Amino acid sequence: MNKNNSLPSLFRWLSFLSIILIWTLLSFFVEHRLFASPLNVLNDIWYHLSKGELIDDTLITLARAGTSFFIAMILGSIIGYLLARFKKLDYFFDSWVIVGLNIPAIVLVILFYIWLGLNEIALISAVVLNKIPIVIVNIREGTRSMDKSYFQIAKVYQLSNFQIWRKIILPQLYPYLMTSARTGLSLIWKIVLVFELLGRGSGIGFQLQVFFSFFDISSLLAYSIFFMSVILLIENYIMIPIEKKATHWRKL
Amino acid sequence: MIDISITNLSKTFLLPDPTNKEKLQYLNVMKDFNLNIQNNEVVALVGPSGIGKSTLLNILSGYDSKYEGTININRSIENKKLSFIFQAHNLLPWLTAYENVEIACNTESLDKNSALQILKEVGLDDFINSYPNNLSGGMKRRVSIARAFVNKPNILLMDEPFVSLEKPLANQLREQTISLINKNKVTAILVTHDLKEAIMFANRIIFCNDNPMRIYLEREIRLKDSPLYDSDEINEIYNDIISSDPAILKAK
Repeated sequence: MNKNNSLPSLFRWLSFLSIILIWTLLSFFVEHRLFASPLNVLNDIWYHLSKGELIDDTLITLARAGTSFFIAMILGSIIGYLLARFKKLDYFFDSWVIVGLNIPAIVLVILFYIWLGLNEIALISAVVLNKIPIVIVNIREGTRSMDKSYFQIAKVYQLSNFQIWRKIILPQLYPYLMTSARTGLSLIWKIVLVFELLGRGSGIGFQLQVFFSFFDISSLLAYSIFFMSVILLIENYIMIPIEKKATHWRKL
Repeated sequence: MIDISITNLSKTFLLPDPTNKEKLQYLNVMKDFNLNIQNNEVVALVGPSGIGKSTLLNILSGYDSKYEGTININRSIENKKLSFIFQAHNLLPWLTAYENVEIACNTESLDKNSALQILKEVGLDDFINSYPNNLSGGMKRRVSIARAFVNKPNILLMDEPFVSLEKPLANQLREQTISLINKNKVTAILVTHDLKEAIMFANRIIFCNDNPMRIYLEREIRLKDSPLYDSDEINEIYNDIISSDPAILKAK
């Protein structure tokens, strides 16, 4: 491997190890049940994994986050595209989007839990409504900034609508779709945890609330670190490769 | 036989008033513009910037459909094969050289090998899988020339196709394009500011000026020798045109 290519990766690992080292050293000096050491946290991860509950809760939270993510991405992309294409629609709905961007997530989930009850539909609806405005803004911007000269090629060579989407529109929207997807993933999983904590009886967020009640810092960190690791794996092994594939021509 | 007939073509743009940018004003780019182009004729349109030459090509290509007047192209719909060499190469950066050429095979049941064959003809057989970002300016123009001829067009529109290229490269591409025009027996319209280029390509040069665009002067060209940009014959015709009417310099 090229020396220059491996350097960033080396520094990332050194940075990660330094956090663990500082944490370990601090846990020696601040020996307290409310400050768990990395070893205790690792033990707890193993304990909850072996009981199966950590995997179950992770899968439940991932299912909620995944469902919300796909609904928000699909609806947000369609609405964002339409707003960019039809000015009158944009004039009408622009203030809705601004309100949507500024409504606190917590307000939405409380309202939905009151209106729809403490159930999956309420949670997913609240998450989707939180995420949609961000996708709309990104895709609207992407659609507006599309290079119109490429559509002249489509006209001259009489491309079908399907070909126009596949060869001209989507490649220009990929960077915006990927930005929405990556920022969306990082936003959604965090708000799903908060919403679970507020009104659901399962999932990582619910378990964090239980550990909070018992001041069980070690299990709290075990759950958090495990779930964060899963999200990082999704980011590194699914999102980044998809983004690289979609925009590989830019880096050549 | 008349191949392209343009009758009473009028085109208006709504533009900001230069004296008061808050206000919009109508600009008549073309008013009752008439032009007939014979089968296999190559016509060069020469005139100052901004008078509507490129707009005319956009209308002929079908990209701009908001105009008044009649355009008749003397081909049945099945046979009409139009192509365009754009001022900017207009290659899709996310498609390879091959894919950029192949996009023009859309209207035809052309063998996909046609794209490979034409790329070979313009000397790019070693770069078929290269993306436009990895090609030099000259190579990109070659791909756009290959794209313009892959569908064996009847009508070719060229909008300053060799502008901003270094002289030797521009000359090489001009010669290559002329050879492809002759080989494919194409009716062509070339928009250019370069009078020598117009002499090199055209059977007839049309000098346009004024707003709205009107034909100022027409000149038939019959070259005895094969067209070379700086040949004595072309220089002679150039000097003859300029000396016969110095106002042409303004039109140019």
